[in-house]
This record gives sequence, structure tokens and C-alpha cells, in this order.
Amino acid sequence: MDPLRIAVRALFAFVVLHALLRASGKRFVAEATGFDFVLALILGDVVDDLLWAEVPASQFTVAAATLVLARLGAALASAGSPRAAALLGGVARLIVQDGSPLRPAMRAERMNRRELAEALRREGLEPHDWQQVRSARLERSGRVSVLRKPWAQRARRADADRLRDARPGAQG
Amino acid sequence: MDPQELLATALRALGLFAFMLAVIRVLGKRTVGNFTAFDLLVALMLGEVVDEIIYGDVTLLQGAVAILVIAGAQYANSWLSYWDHGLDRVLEGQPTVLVKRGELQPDGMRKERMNEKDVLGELRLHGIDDVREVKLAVVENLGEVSVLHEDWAKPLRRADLGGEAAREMEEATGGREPSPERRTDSPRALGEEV
Repeated sequence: MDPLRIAVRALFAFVVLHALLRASGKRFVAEATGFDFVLALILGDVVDDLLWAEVPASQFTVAAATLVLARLGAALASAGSPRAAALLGGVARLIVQDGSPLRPAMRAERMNRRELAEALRREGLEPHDWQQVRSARLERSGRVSVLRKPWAQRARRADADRLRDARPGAQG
Repeated sequence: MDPQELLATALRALGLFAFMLAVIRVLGKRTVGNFTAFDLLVALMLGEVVDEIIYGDVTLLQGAVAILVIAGAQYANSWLSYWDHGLDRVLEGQPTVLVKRGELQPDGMRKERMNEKDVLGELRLHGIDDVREVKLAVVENLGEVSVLHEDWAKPLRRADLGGEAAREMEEATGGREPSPERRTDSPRALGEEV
């Protein structure tokens, strides 16, 4: 097999994939979900058949372009209609409310208490801190978002200002 | 290449896109955002199978069987690790302790093949340059390091400023967390004047 031909095909594949990914927008790379990750793996595997000349360049281009266009179509549909977004990517699910884990929701996501503890630990919350949580959701991206009760929210400069103003004898 | 075969390639790619999307939706969100070692393996295997189908090297039926078996294994795995019978620890591993009560834990570090520099680097990513601030640092099953601060080193909350928020906190925690005026821990834990 001619090494030069392999080099040319590799360069061709690089240019085609680069153009396709640029066309499909930044979120493909930055906000990659699990499905995007699998899609990227598929694209990577579609390439190697081209490099070893197992498929013609035209077939590779059609296959890669179809995958990227399909993803673009799905993304456009999700952006355009909440129902399509829910169908294609699911909806955020409430898993903790007012400090209490919601068992049915956790079961539906097959997330056990240990995994919930892990997700909240990433937010710096130990089990005895869960009282601080107003709500936690398993987001569409698969990550857990946490909103705290007002008293447990991070103190802001404005909070210090308000206290200073409220202190007896303070001048406004 | 003749246009008909190209069209067939496009159709197979489109069909597999929809099929894979459906499979991953059924597997659930947890498979999507957080990759444990097993999830990563599944994603790699699924990705590896598909290109042969798109190019028509294997039949659609063969491809579907392969994908469904891999997905089925992952589905079974998610339920097996959901039921907390100890099997989840075998399937997904356990967090490894790197720092406890401000002290590096050589056993955990050896297990994760991390030296002191690696651990301190991870702590810096959390904005910490003094290991004494760390109550617990663990390597999670997903490979990330999470850090719990000592109480005195925790970020300031509204309730820590006192006032109405502090009363709400005492109420919510049943007095377990005292309001700032009555707390006993402080940077004195460092053994120095602050």
C-alpha cells in the first residue's frame, strides 16, 4: 500500500470532518452529551475504513455528512420545539426537594443514594448538609444541578451591605 | 461509486443515527453525562460496531443484534448497580480517599498512582493551596476529585453572616448548626492567629 496515498486520504478525511464539525456549531464540542460522544466515536471509526482504502472517498463523505446533518437536524428540532427536545433528549428530573431525596425519581433514573451522595459531594455537600438543598435535578446533560435554600446560598457583597445598614446606629 | 450505493449508505447512516439515539435515550441520562469505566467501554463498543453497518460490511440484522446485546448489558448493569447489595461496589468501584482531616493518605494515593504533586494540583483546581483546609478529598468513581472543606474553611453562606438567615438555618437544622454568634470552631484549628 502506497504510504503517500494513505497520507492524502488522511488529509482529505481531516478536511472533510473539520468542515462538517465547524458547520455543525460549537456546542457539538463544548456541550457534548453522551450521544454526541458516541456519535464522535462513530465518526472516528468511519474514517479508518477510508484511510485503509476499504471504502471509496465518496462513500465516506456521504456517511460522515449524513451523520453530522442528522445531528444538526435533531439539534434544530430541539431548539425549535420543547416537545421535540423532550423526545430527543429527555427532561430534567427533580431528584431532591427540600433536602429529601425523591425515591421514585431516583429509581426512574437508576440512581441510588450512593450516587446521589457523590453528586452532592461534588457540590461540597455532605449528607448532613442536605438540609441546605432546595432542589436538585438530574439535567438533560446527565449532570446534577443543585439549588440551595436562601439561607444556605453563598453570601454576596449585598448581604454584607444589608447587614451593615441594619446595624443600630448605622448611617445610610 | 454508483449513486445507488451512496444513497443506501446515506439511508443506513440516517437509520442508525435514529436507532442509536433511541438506544441511548432508553439507557437513560445517567449513561449520558457521567462516564464510569463501564459506561466508557459501552460507548466505545457501540461506536466501534456502527461503521461496519453504515458501509454495508455487515447486514442490518447482524448490526442490530450486536447493538442490542451491548445495550442490554449496559441496561442490566445500571439496575444491578442501582440495587445497593454490594454488587454496585464491584461494578463501579468505591471512592478513594486522598486527603482526610488535612492529611495526605498514602494508601489512597498509591491506589490511584498519584504523588503529592498530583494531589496538590487537584486541590489547586479547587482553589486550595493549604491542605489543612481539606476535611476530605476523594477520587470519585467518575474519575473526578471532589473536595469537602473543613467547616471553618467553607465558603461564606448568607446564614453565616447572622441575622434572619441564621435564624432560618437554626430552624431548618433543628439547632444542629448554631448561628455564627455561638459557633465554636474557627481558624484557630490552624493553630495560628488569624
